[in-house]
Amino acid sequence: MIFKVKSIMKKPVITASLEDSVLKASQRMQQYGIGGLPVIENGKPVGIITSRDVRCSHPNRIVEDAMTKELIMINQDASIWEAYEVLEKNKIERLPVLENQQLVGMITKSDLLVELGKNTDPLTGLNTSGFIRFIGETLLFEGKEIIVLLFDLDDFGQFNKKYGHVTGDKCLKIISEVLSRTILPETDYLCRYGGDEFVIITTRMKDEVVNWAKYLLTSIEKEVKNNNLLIQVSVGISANQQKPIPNNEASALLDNLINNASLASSKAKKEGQSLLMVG
Amino acid sequence: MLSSSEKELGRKAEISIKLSEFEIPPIQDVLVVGRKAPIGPGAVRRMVDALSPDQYEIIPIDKGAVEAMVVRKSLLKLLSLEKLIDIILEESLKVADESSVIKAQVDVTVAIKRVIEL
Repeated sequence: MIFKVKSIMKKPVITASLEDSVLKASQRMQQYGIGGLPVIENGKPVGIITSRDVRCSHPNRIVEDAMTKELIMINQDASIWEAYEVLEKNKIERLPVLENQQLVGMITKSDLLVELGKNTDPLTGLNTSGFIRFIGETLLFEGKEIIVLLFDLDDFGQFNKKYGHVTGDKCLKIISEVLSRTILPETDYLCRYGGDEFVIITTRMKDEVVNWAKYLLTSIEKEVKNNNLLIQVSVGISANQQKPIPNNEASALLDNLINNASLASSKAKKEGQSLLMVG
Repeated sequence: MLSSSEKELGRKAEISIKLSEFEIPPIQDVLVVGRKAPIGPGAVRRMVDALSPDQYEIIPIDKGAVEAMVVRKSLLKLLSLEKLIDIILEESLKVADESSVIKAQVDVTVAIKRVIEL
């Protein structure tokens, strides 16, 4: 799984100089089949000239007088999701990539979309387990206290057999929509974890999470009832104590948290409950 | 009858050369650069820095057809920058558009009247 910009950036970087002509820059873009060149002065990036800049400028001009001076860049250790968010927010197509303030690569929107597509569930449009693992390990490494909620559809296999897979898919989409519109981007991270499981990693306070989970269950119940779908959902919740975790231990700890949440969900189901919290 | 090649006795070319002194710099007092002109303010800055270092100021213009003005610094001893820009912009836009590069020769005369006691 590829989650960091450095894994998919293109290198070496093809660049232009301030005093190059726009015509020369255009020819270089054509030669390498690329749509933009970072502009370098004294070894540092000072702007970018894109095919759009070339179209809007006289070919006799120098790059300095045609380039976009406001240069937005990204660190090579940023996640692919963060990089995509930067591109969308700034309405740009490419980002120069830095390591210790040195230009080391380029990443484009199309590079990111390919990788993001591999981490997106085609049915619900949610991120898949790779995303939640990346987020979880990062938060643990940063010493954040996280709580894992695992939502499990009860007897989903039987539901599919009885009502058909199309109805089953409809059910999954409805639940994913309820969860998507209820989470907050600053605290909650959602994914479709397995066939009939959804995981939320949250940095909300422990005493808030149980009530919030109950609210989510009620919202789901209301929505599936409105659509005449006879399905129940259980949620298991597990929490960790805040302390910085070495990067090589974060993965194992996250495994435990997700596993515990899964077991809690199963136990809740067996005991006729819809929610159980452990840890 | 002779062919044209047999009639030809020689071929000559007439060359006209006009020599005149190259102005340093070749932009006189003010240069007005349009946004889509063949040169931009960066290229002009390099030219004046190379040909007449420290004698010109590059003024970027935020809006409109004009991208920048290049002004000889000595003019600013007689006239404020804001007044000069306003006048030059107003007059040059009557004859130019965003693809133009216009040079202007500006002569400023300050007439002073004073009363003194005899």
